[in-house]
Amino acid sequence: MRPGLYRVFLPLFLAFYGVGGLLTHSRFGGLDLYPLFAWGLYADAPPSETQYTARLLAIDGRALPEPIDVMGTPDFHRAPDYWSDAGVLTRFGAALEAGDAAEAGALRRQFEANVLRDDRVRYEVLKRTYNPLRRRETGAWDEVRLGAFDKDTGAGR
Amino acid sequence: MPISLTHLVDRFWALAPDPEGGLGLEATHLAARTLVRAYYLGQLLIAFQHLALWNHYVGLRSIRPLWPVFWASGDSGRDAMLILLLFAAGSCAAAFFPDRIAARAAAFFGCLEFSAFVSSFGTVRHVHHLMLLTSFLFVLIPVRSGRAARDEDRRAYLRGVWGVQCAALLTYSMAGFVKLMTGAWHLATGQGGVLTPAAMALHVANSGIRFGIDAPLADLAIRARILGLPIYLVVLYLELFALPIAFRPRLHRPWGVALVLMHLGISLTLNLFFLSSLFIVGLLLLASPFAPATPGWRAAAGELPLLGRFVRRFAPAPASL
Repeated sequence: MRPGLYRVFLPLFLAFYGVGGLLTHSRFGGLDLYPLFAWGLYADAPPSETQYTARLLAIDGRALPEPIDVMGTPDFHRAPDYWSDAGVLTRFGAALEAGDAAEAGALRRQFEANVLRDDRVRYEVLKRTYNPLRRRETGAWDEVRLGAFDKDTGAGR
Repeated sequence: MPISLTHLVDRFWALAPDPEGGLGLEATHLAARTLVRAYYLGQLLIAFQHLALWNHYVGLRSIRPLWPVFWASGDSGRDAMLILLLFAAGSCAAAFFPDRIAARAAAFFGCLEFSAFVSSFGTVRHVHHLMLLTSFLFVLIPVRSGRAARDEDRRAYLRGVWGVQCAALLTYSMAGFVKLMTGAWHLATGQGGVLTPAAMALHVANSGIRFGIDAPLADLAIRARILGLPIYLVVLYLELFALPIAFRPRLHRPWGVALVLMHLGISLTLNLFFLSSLFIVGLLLLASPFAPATPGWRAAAGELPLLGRFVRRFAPAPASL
């Protein structure tokens, strides 16, 4: 870029990025306009947190003796991109709770294809609310079931 | 009297530090060119880190592509492999030839494709945003290859590097601004929030739950919760006033040290490893070509945002002979 043009570009770009990024914050409607970002990281500390998780009930048609809580599974947290896996599950649960069927359907496809690797899985999606400090001490939370689903790719039969 | 755009642009650049720094134009320019090459070497390392996870990326199937990767499909791993190679190859090219605009553009393009690709599986990966922003601005650095650099070209190059510092620091100021506004709103409406003593302990405890394991210093941070608010206020200060630091070269290195320590603290208490952010802000500030060789603690403290006036008043720098 020519130096004269850069002289005008830089302050305008910084102003655009700052204002545009802040407008993507959820308080302004949360319009997610990649790659703008509000940088609103850890700006809230609610005493009541929400966690969405999936509980696996059956794999390949066989009921599990003990259901598997995905968010409580060490292997899930050790996945190469845990953050993405947890993110898609969280957004899937939030879309179910909000009653947004189209978004929930799209996120379900992503969760089943990229996170649940078995071909046939029966699972339920749960919402947990808790106070982080109390849960840490007592392990207690409140739980609501948001729905039960079957993943069946039709493969392996 | 109406304020024109030209007037605002002139004011902005009038506040910018002297491109010659305290080292002289040639030495500052040389330091800046070394910084740019080191940046791309760091981007290459990050690309390699992800290339090592190729088996994971090629196994991703259901994609909702963001606009930069509209062409990608999740049907095969071919697109994932291509994107990983674009990221690594572009970073390689820029690390080898940082003066070539085509190489820097390739590095940005690879970074954009990769960042958009990994954000196309249900959640945007904000951890790559700082690398994306800085990689974009590095493309725009004015460089005339094939000719001996004249002084004016060197100054233009240095302004370009300073622009990248500004953008990186702006992101921290935005983070601080959102924390301050949200915290003030929650305090005013009686909803607790980040400006209350329990905030840090709540964050640390919740992070342990979300990640399934406590961070190394989580227990300590929760036990010492009385320190939570003072620590949070220091973080807020560091973040909120990050952008003004770009205009105060004497504070580049001290602020770089503080932000690196902040990232380390976040990693050890919240399990959040912003690897690329730590590298980028560390490099841009600790190796800032504009920072004086010896800042002088009293003079540096005198330039601190908000607090500097008290330092200047109660501990004035000795008068030079």
